[in-house]
Amino acid sequence: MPSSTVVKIPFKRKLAMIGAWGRSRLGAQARAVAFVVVYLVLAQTLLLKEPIHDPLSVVVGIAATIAGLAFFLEGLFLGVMPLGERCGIRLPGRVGPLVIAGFSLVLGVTATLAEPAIGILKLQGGSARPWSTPLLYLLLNRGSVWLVAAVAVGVSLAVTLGVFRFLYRWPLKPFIYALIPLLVAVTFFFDADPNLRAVAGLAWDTGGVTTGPVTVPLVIALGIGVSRIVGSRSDASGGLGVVTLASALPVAAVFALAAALVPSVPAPGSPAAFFSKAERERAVFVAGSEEALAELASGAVASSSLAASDFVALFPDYYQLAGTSAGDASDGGTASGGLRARLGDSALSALKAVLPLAFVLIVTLVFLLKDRLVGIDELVLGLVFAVLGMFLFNFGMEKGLTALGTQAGSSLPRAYERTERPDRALLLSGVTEADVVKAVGPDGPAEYIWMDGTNGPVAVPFDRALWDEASGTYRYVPVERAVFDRWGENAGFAAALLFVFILGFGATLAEPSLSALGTTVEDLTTGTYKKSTLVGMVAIGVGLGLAFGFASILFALPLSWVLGVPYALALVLTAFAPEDFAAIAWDSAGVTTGPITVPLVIATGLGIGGHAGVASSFGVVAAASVFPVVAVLGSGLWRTVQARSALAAMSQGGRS
Amino acid sequence: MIRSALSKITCAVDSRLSAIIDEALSDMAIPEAFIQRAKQVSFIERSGPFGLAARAALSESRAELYRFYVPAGLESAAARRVAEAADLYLPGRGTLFAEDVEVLSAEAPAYDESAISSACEEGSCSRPLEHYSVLCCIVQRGMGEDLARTVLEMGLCVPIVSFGEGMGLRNKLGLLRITIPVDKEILYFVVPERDTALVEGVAVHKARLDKPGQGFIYRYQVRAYAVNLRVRAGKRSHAASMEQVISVLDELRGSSDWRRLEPVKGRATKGKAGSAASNLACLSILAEEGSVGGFVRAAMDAGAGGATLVPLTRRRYDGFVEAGADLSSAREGCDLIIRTDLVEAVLGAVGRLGLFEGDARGQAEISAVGHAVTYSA
Repeated sequence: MPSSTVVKIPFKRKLAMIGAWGRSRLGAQARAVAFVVVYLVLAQTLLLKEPIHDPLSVVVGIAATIAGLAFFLEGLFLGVMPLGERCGIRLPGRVGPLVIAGFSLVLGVTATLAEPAIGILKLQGGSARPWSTPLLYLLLNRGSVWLVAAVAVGVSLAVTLGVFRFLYRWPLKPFIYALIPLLVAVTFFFDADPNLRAVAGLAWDTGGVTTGPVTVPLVIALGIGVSRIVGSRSDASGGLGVVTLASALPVAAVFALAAALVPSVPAPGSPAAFFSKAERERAVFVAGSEEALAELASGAVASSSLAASDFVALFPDYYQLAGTSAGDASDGGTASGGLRARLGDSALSALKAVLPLAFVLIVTLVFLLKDRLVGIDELVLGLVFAVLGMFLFNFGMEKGLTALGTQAGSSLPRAYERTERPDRALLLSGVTEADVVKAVGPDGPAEYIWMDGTNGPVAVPFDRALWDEASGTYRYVPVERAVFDRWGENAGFAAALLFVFILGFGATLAEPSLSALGTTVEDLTTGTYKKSTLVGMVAIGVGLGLAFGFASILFALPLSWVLGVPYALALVLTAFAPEDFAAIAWDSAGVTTGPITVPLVIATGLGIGGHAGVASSFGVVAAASVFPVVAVLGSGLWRTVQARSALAAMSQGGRS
Repeated sequence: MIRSALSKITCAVDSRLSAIIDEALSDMAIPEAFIQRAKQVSFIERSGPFGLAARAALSESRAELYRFYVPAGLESAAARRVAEAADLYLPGRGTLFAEDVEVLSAEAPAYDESAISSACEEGSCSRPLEHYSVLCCIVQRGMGEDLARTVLEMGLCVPIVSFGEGMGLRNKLGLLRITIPVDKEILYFVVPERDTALVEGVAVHKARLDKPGQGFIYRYQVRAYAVNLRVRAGKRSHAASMEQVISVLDELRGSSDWRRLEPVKGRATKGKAGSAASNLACLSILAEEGSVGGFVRAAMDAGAGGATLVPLTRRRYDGFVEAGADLSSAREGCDLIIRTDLVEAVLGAVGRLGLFEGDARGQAEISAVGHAVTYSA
């Protein structure tokens, strides 16, 4: 809001002001990211003894991430959040409930389409196969449009309910008591069905990842605006709670979609059963068409999951497909072409994330609410910053933190299990049958050859599959012992879980949505609940949640129990917590799993899940969402007890 | 535009007592009150493990700052009713004070005088403590904690802290304004008149108010009905706390002057570069959320220096049900500290911009300011 008179500032002074401002913003983000970067580098180089691959690219990526976060957060506070709050303030007084509902529905759909989580979910799906998890495969591939639609319906309903909750002063707790137990009960029901079991994790994670870094601050600001107009007594929670609903209702929507689709898909089983004539109609539904199904079958043949003879028998019209698919997908792009494409993708996703939402809000404000845009220069600058920040952040994450996390994550199973090191393979020549010696062990005889080592000859296991008898060459792939082997297998698991705990803690410290929520909560509570406290509690919760989530992968614990127990605890704590703390805690669950944590979780999850033979790492994000609720509620209850005892002590003093 | 001479009652209470205040205001059918989010800061005694290493930690409790107007003759009754309802005479629960103001609004506020009188119990022994002042200090966000700690350590008062957004030089810089932090902390110190110079000096020193762009402090006299003196909470080993003893003595003496340890003279902002000014007035503007910025710009063009905007919630207690556009309870307020000779010019400027009409639904309030200190080149 500039004044009509403008003070002239000398150019040098202007530069100094901009420099100081830039330093403070970049410094804050560098401090936020420093923990997780230093931790990943130290863990990989010192503990897992792996060098950092392509360090220059990683450094550039991290620098871009820091700059991106700084610009993005500034853009949120200058452009996106004021726009949302202004809309919230103007809506209730100027239009009726029906129009508000319509606006909320449009905003929910736009938010879902603007920040599509389907890419993240596909990544998490990892090696999901159509025959082992048909429903999951369907939802992540051909049915991904239905999945996005279900999420959009969930988010839209959440925004609508959230706004109406403020308008009519409905408390949040009844929504939590109604929704969460229902979702947990459905998870137990899904766990009993092999087809639905795989989708339960997807549904819960959908709730976590759909609330993106633009959507969350925007709906919080909108809620604050509406709440201020209505002037509810519980001002401190005013505006919070929409994110909770936007995390829970998409889960319900995906559950409903899964329940509707499950009769149409085959039961999980072997590839032969899936592609059999008896299941053909349902299998075609999963694949989309006969041709697509045949392609899936040819892929199964290529991966030795299906016998070639079975393929010919099952798909006589398509038998020529088998074996031809390999090599079709040639990666002809150059390195510079790849970089250009990545830059283009980052820019496009940044524009898609910010502009449609801003457009909906501006059109609503100007044309529907007939409001004047105040401080338009600041607003435009904010939106430019948000897009620029998102672009730099997307690009930087891929090159920096995600790359670093992927390297560390793929090395993580080395903490608890022996690992083959194809990157350190040696080609031995002149190996003949006479060189192979047999040694007898508890598991029977094993074959070895003698190899020249740095300290003299060493006997190494001999794998005939790696031996070319004709040329006498043998490809020796060394196998490394688990890093914590000497302390036993459990020590390795404990170290891996400690690794993910600290990773989750560090990544959460840098989450932009959480930073925005922390600032909002600090404002709403006039600093009595500090941003640093909220971020710290949430970070501890995410760390614990990730550790539990990965423990469920490693020890094959059922998701229903992994989520059911902490959610039950969270519900009990909610009953004792004041309404405002309940809203803060449950909203923090929605913002934790953001653009920094999720890629790192996926990177680590694929590393651990791949070694554990699990098709996907679904459920980990959901576990990382529920533990912050418990942590924040716990801290809130502690503060409430302290405040009550202080007030009681004053009352016991008697009148003066 | 109608001018009414009224008493403004300001009450800062722990937010858990808000419902009691609301009930008291409803009993008196007060037409409207403006509520500002705030916190009360005090020390809490914490003992370490095995009772060792006891320390005093800063404790912040959420509070609400109520402001409402009553006819001057009913000030004492209304103040007593609120203070007794929330038991504000107990240390640690809140602070209540009143001052004379002139309110300018589109229509004169209607009071149910019988409701106010009948809601107040007869025979209360409480009477306002004379010679109290409120110091209002505006600093950059984050600077307030240090200042509050110092004032608490000196045992002077329990600071009431609120958040706001600054408007002033920043808004004359074009887009370059984004490089200057907009977030401000507003600290209110309710202290005996004799301590004002001391607190002012501490504030100027701690918050570096003698440096450009760091902040501003001003003070005005009030009639204090209840003052929160509980600067330190913790275990009590006597039948009454020291704060309770002090509170009783203040009330018996009718002032806090008995607590004076040394002459006031010479303890002020001696040797500081801060510029002190008198002959000032406080022009408060209250209007619809989002509209006050425009009025402050008009005021600045008419000669005002700047202001800090605070979000307010307006609540009605007279049973009148509003509909349509009047549904909104979101308001904004700001205090403009200006020279008394500029008051009419600034009022004219904001009036021409429509403060008292249309969507703004605003009002202005003029009160006296005793003294102000800020940097002056």
